[in-house]
Amino acid sequence: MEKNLKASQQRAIQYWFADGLVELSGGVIGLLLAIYFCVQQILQASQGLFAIIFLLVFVAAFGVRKLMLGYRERNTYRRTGFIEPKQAGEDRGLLGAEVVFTLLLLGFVLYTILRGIQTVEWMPAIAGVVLAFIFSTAGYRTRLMRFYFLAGFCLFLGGFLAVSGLGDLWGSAILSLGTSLVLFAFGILTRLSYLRQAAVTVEQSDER
Amino acid sequence: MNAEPQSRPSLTGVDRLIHEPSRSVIMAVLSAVKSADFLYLQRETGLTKGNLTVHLSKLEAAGYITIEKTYRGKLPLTLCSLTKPGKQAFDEYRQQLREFVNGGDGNQ
Repeated sequence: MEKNLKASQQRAIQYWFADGLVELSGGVIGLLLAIYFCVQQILQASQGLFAIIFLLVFVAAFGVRKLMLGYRERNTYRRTGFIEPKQAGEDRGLLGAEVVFTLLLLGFVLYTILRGIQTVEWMPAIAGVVLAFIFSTAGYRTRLMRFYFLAGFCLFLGGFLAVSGLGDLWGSAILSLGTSLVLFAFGILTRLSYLRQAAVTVEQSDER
Repeated sequence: MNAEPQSRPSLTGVDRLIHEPSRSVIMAVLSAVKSADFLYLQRETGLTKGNLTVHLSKLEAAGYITIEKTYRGKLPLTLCSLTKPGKQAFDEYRQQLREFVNGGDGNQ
C-alpha cells in the first residue's frame, strides 16, 4: 500500500513532463538559440543589431512557452486532467543548491575575466554546466532519468566544444543544436507514449 | 515467569477516513502537488464520477481538503487541494503505516 501511495505521488510530481510538450518547446527554443549563434558567427554586423536579434529570440522563447501552455490547456488538461505543481522554492535544500551554484558560477566567470584566461572557449563550457545544472535539478525534483541523461550530455558536449577550438559562437551554436535535438527526441518519445496511454476517459456506470 | 510481550504496533488506531484505498490515493496525490483537478483524480483512482464525488465530499467534510470550482482559460476545473490539518493527518497516517510494516521502529 505504501508503495502504491509513493507511486501515485511520483506520477503527480512527474505530470508536468508527462505529455512531452515541455521537451518539445525546449527543443524549439534550443533551435532558435542555435540559429542566433550561427547568424552572429556568419554575419558581420554591429553589436546593436545582434542585441535586437537576441531580444527577438527571447520574445520568441516566451511565445513558444505561451503556445505550449495554451495547447496543453486545450489538449492535456481536457484529456488527462490538470495539476498545479508545488512551487520550486518549497524545497529549501534545492533552493540553497541553486543559490550556491549561481554564486560559484558568477565567481568563476569573474575569475576568468580578471585573469584573462583564454586557453579554452569558455562560453560553451559555461553554457554546458548551466544546462547540466538545470536538467539535474529537474531530474532531482521529478526522479526522471532522462533529465540526468540530458545533464550528462550537456556537460560532455560543452566540455568537448570548449577544447575543440571551434570558437565561442560555433561552440555555443553546436551545443544549442545538440541539446535541442536530444530534447526533440525525448519530447517525441514521451508524447507518443502519453498519447498511447491517455485514451479518452469513458465514464462507467456507478451500478455494478 | 513469562516476560511481558513487547507491544507491536497495530492498525486499529489509524484514521479510517484516510485508510480507505481510494481516499488514501487522493490524499497521496494532493500531498505531492499544490492542487489537482477532478479529472486527474478520477484517472488516478479509477473511480466513477459519482464515487469520486462521494469520497471527495467525505474528505472535505472532515476538513482534510478544499474543493474549488474555477476556470483556467475557458476550461472549467474542479480543483482539490490538501488543507493543513489534512496534511498533518496524512503524515500521521503514513507514519503509522510505516511503523506497522517495520514492526515498531518507524524507520525507513
